[in-house]
Amino acid sequence: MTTLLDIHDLHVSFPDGDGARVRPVDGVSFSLERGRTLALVGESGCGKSLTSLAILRLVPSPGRIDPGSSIRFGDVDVLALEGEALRRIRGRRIAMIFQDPMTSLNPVFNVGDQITEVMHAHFTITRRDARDAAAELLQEVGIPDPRARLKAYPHQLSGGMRQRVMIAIALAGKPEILIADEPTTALDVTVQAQILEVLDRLRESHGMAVLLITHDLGIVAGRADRVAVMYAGQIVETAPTATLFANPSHPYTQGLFGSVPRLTGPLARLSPIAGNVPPAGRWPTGCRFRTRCPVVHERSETEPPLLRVEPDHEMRCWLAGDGPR
Amino acid sequence: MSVPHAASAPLLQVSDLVKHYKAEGLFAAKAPPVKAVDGVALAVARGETLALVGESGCGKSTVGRTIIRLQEPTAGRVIFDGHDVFALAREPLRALRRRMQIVFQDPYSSLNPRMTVGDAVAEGIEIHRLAPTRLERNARVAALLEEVGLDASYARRYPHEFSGGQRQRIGIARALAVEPSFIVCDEPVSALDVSVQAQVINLLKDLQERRGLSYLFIAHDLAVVRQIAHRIAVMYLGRIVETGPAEVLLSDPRHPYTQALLSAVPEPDPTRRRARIVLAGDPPSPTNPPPGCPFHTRCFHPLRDERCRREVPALRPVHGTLAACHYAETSAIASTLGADVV
Amino acid sequence: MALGAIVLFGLLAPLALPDPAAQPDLAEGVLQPPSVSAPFGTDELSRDVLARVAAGTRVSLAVAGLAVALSASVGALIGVVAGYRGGIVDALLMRFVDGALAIPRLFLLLLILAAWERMPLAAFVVVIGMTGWFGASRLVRAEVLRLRDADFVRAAEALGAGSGRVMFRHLLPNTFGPLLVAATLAVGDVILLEAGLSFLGLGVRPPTPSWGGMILDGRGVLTVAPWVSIFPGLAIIATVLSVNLLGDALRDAADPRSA
Repeated sequence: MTTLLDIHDLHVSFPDGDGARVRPVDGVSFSLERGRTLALVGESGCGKSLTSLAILRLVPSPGRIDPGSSIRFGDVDVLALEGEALRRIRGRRIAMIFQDPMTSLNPVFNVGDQITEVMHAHFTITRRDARDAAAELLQEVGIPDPRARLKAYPHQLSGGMRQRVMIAIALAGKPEILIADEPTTALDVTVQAQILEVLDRLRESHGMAVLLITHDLGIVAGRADRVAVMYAGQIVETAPTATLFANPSHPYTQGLFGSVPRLTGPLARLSPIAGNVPPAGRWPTGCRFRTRCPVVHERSETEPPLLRVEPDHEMRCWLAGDGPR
Repeated sequence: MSVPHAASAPLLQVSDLVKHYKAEGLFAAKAPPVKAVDGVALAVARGETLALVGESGCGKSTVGRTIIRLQEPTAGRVIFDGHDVFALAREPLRALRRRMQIVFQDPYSSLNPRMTVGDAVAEGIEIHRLAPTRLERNARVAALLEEVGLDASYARRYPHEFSGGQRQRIGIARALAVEPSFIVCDEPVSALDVSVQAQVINLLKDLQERRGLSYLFIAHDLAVVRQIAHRIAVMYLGRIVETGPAEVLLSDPRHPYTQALLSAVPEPDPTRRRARIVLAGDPPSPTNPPPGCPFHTRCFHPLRDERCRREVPALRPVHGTLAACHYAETSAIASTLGADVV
Repeated sequence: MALGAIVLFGLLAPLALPDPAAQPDLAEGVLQPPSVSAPFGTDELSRDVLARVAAGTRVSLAVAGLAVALSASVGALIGVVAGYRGGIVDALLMRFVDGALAIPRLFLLLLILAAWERMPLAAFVVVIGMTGWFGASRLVRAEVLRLRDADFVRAAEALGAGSGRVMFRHLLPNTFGPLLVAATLAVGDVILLEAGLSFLGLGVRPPTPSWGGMILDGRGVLTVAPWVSIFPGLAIIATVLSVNLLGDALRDAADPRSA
């Protein structure tokens, strides 16, 4: 198992307008392995998108990555890179695709140009070769009649096609790591199935590591090797997918599972989590979930660290210390 | 979910509903119209939820808005509790509006940012003069807010102070204020986080039971629909392609599109592998629907043939549902949802 | 933002000390240069220029404020009706507005003002206001078009709200932001307009003090007593500048993008 990316103790902070700083990403650690998909799961406001932006140092100002964080790509310290060296990582070794293809694609350039732009930025390549490679990429992502499509503009394509184009652009740099931030949320369910199929196929053929950010447990079940659940800026549970689904242990994870409607199995009333997610900066002290937790532990006023539940399965909850569930 | 007793005639009866939009742009005169809704018929009984499902562009939102005449139809008839909705004059229509309400998808644009929550909820009360004094109006507003799970003190605050889920509840309270018997729920939970979604679904169900409401529940997520619908109608390119009782339709769908739709829904269960049907191509656009069966260009049914290209199939009873497919007797897929297929 | 606030304060201060002593003060003497007792000097009727400038502040601001309020109100009304009703009503109203905008405002004003000899101040304000609402109507109409298909408008219609309610309770209040910004900037324009017209003798007539009128008065003695014209002129510049800064600050504050 080759570890391609190692994130350790990542903190991202923003000024809160009153002089103090808020940390929407507060001590996140995980690693990405070649050929594997890690799913980062959580609801809005948990910090998952910011985490992915931080990897590529794209945190919007006035936010910043706090000192003490570590992002290592192989033996390269990503946080220490500047200028040209950073540019050589972005798009070339780590690529990213976003949720909304309409705003992520430049409306005034055609598809072919947007793909070849990446190639020209990172490789020395002739224009003809670049165009050939671009057509091949479009073919690989499943766009029919790729040569003709090179001249198309984003607004002429459907949502599913645009997302495929975005994947093609991401692959143009031949990255080792692909970060997909809610890649199918804006798409119809049948198109979603197509796109996920494409991502899987490409991950295999290109041997990439994939960081999949989503709120949809259904997608996670089918496509991820490992899952990390985020809440209030922290990872609250992490395990291989099968393990997590068989034995969700953190009360928040259990709450999520209880909230998800299912198509098969017995029809039961949904049991949602009480209350709302508190905004960053207004998290409770100690365990951040304790104000909504149905089984609040007596130690919850102290923030729990990640504790072992079973082999290769950790959660941030004092209940882990009480023995197997 | 068991179907509630059908008490005589249905509350809502829609027949041959058509809504075409004129094309826009420079060459609009020559361009074909957008056939958003192209002949839809449905009925909703008292106390029942009919779910209208489909993907983007299928016309389901348009159906919802046209039924309550937020938009004028191109053709068709809607009978609501004996009244011919499209034939009503302004005043009788306004009076009827009390009975049929709507809840919108986007919690961020469905509330006037310049009105307090209390004013928003009270609007219907004011329009229809349901509370003679200010005191009574405020009391009603407070009761409604509590009924949807919000604190009565929220009435003085503004929408921007609330989360998406809370805003949806406010929207529901606003609709309930006029005491409707029928509510069009236009993708009410699609924009919400999973745990909030569950809260709102439960709220809608509780309200239905408590107040005897009927819903036209418009959605694209079949798993959500299963939670709340008694019957389901599946739309594709402006037409209904299959309809029937929820459990039947979900366990033994007969129209190939319904089968594909079900197969595409990701199940949160890594051990369950089922036949994954991945449709080729993109949904055709409503400006240029294919002739004959609207689905035939992407259909994978083994018996698909010339007839599908020429003749629009009618909805007819097949194995427990009504399906608009010439060959629905033979299922397009070998196994259905429950089987384990690698 | 802070600058705008400071300047606004500077604007209001003269207003706070209404100086009715725009009377001849023979003790001072005619056409005296600025001194300790008369910081802006005196004019040809030995009136204290400072006092007159201060008095003129109230007049100029009142005229501009009221005229713009009138323009904004009429413009908003026309704009919301045109935007919400659409169709033939919109077409007719907007063609009228287009036509009206094609006529130079100053030209129109000169015609009206020259034709009406002893025009009272109130009428003057109304005339300025009624020649200036066209831009506001376009602005409000544009906002209304943007908001017209929002869900909260649909919701109101679904509840049975009539057009009146939708227009005045839902659409108009949501146009106040951009309208306020435009109105603030228009105040600066009207101050200049009024000053110019008064300078031509067509605006505010004596004995009501006005900056434009004062500049006109000082024209004859420009070489020997320039202060009579200069100070009113400076007052105009300072006021218009501060109004514009205020307008810019309002625009920035309303813009969700500037954090």
